[in-house]
Amino acid sequence: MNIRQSWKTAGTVILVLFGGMALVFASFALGGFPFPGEPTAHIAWLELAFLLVLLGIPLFR
Amino acid sequence: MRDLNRIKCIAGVLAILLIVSPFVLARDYIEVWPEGWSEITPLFNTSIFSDRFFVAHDEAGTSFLSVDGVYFRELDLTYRLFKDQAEAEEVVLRKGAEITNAYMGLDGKGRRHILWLERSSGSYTINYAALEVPYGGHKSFALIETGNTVQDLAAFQVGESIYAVWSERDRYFQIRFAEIRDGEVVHLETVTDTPNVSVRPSIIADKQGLLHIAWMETTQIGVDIFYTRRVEDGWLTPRKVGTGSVQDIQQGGSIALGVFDDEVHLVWSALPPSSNNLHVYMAKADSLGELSSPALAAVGSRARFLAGVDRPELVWQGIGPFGAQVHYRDHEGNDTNLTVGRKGAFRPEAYGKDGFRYGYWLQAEPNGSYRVYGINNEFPKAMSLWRRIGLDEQAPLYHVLFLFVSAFMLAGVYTIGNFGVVIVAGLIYGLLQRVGAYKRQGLFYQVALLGTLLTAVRRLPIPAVQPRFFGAVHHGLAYILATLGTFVILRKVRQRGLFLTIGILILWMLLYQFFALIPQTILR
Repeated sequence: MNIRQSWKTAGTVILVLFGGMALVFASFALGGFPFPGEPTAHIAWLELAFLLVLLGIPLFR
Repeated sequence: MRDLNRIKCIAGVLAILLIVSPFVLARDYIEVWPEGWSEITPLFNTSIFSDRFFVAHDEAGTSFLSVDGVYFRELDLTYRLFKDQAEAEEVVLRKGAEITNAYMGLDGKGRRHILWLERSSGSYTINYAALEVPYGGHKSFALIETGNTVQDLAAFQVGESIYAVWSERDRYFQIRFAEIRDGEVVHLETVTDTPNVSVRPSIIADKQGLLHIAWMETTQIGVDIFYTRRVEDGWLTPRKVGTGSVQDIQQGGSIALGVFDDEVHLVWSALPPSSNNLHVYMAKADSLGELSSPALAAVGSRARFLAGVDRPELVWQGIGPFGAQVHYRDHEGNDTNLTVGRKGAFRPEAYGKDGFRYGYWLQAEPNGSYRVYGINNEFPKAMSLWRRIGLDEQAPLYHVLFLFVSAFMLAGVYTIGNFGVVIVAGLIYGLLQRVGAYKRQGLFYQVALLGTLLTAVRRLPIPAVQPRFFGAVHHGLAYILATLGTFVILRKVRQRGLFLTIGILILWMLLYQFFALIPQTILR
């Protein structure tokens, strides 16, 4: 990996971190600052369902 | 080579500046404001020796009754009137006494009626005073004097009459009731007759003028909440509403009563079977006296119904990262955390007027005293964009840099703390890779699958540290950003195999923790 490539990668990492941060702040601006709470059971079920969908995609493609 | 060294040197200086400057120039936290509510106003210093302070509103303004002082045997019973957010009157009704409970009622004609329980050597007295607005002097009378131990005075005012209840030890602690009119006790009786310890009574009158009492009764095995109401020929046989808690009694909790439509609502605190934290429970008695089963309302204690509203609305003392915090629940069940910043807030009182809500609570001051603070939604504080997203509006860029560095370093620690999760997810992924259909998938699918595996495996009982949960939206956003970010960073990596999988696992976890930790770092 040459120097130019390293700088590009570092730039991409910084861009991802700051860009993602900007999107998080944008979500706060739109929806208001979130207050902490307790995760509900349906989120775990949603995650599991999404995992099953992902696992199913290659089998039916 | 000289150019490379120069670039390295500049990069090093920039990195040091980036890491150091936010800590020097940014504040270490931001106060997040409940949207639609006013600035928090400090009102007056008081004490925590009395279980509560009183606040009531009429056309003269907002009246407060509090027990102030720094030594429990030399307390001042103080009445204050606030008009247009400024103190208009302050009257010390009783100076330098051991006052354990006080009550203030407004009779609708501008008079303030005050009751308080005072302890002196060997005796207890229930005292009464009345005053008008503007203040023109007052006289106080001892209504009841006894050598029995008296505690937990509570009262309710209907027109010219004050109905008072308290717990008095006459062999056993029993609930006593008195009607007070024109500064005299016109009726006195004992409500309970039980060897159990009956304490913390509360009283209210419904729209028909019927009186309702609830209290706590400690038995050999626990605490029960009892309720009765008065009919023409006396008090009905007390009925158990639910279970209370010794912890709540020790912390000065009581049962709050409210009348809405034809129903009497009760709210108190108790320990649920699976928790060491007090929870708020609610129940109600209909017009026929039929009691509903207790329903869990929230985590917390010291709940009170808002006065002056048509439907049940609550304030209570919840549990927050910096100690107690004050929550408000409107009649639709929407909760608002009224506490701002990292200051603990406790013992809330609140009322409603003309569609607006006014909340008050105690906060500990740095000098060791306690102060009453107020908030309302009549004069909402202007919410800047920076404040709305949780950034310091005076130095937003420095705050962003501070958050970036803090969240990134924390994310590293949290990633290490999820070593077990990463290993398990990696093993599952390794097994999946034995199936050809999964092995042939592109990078984006692999990143998405590994990310989803990591989120699912986090739910398993594997020792790991997790960021605080800030709602499904933020959780989902952190997942999407971590997945996209990992893909964007690794998209040009040609190598496939174990090293890429390890890279995806660590990078995804690091990015997820980074984005998930942002609100937690803001509130830290």
